[in-house]
Amino acid sequence: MFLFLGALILGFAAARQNRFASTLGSRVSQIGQFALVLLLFSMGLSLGSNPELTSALPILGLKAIVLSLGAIFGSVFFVWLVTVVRRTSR
Amino acid sequence: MTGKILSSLVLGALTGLLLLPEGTSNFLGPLSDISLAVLLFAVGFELGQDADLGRKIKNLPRISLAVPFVVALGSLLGAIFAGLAVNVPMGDGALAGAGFGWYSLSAVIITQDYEVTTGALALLTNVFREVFAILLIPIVAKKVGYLPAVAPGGATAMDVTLPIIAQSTDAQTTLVAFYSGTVLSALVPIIVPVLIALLQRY
Repeated sequence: MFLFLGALILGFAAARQNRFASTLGSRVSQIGQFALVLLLFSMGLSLGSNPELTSALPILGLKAIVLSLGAIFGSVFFVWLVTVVRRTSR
Repeated sequence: MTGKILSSLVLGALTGLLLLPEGTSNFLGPLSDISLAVLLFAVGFELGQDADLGRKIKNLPRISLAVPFVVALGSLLGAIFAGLAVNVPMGDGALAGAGFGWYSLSAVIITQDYEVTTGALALLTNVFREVFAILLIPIVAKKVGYLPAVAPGGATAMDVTLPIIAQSTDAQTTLVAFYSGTVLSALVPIIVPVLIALLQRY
């Protein structure tokens, strides 16, 4: 948790230093994309090698997919609703 | 980018399922921690490059403060109603929805304090939420709006899905996403036990 917050703050601070900003500049987003791919690969690895997960998948998978999509659409809808209500009330 | 994301996830899952010998998963924690830290460094860097950030924070609409609570409500109601369609009891649907995508925490609490099957359902639901969020955030940002694109990730908007939100929206929305993910992460260990207590009483 502190590692992640620290990394975010460190990145922010580095960008505010002109020295780093000019040398790192374009590299950072490339490195970030590579890290994202690595993160998702390792996420996949730990999910695929988790027997608890793979054994529950055939039985509960469909229900879980429906529930997760319900939660996503519900939350998107409510945030959308709030932005629309706010816009029309002004 | 979405193709790259999906294929690295699927490739990882298949490798883990078919090739990974038991016990070698110990190195995975550090690997994902380090890549996540590098990723967040990049997000912080992009925010830092925005010279106008201070003014943008001041100009944030006050409604942004309510976003995590609206996301929480929408997640719970959405999961409850979607669950009814596939014969999931309302309580189980609410519990699975209350993980807000943070699968490791909510599933552990539910398995320990409530029921193993519901815990497994919550684990899978929140894994799928994270995966679908990664895929849907760019689409929601484009078709529905920037602020609604904060919603799919739930609690993960502060880490795993933050870079996706940053890529699909603007600096202001990225800040709201980080704030929303942080609040939702703090809400999980409060809401899940409260729901369990309610379910056990009635």
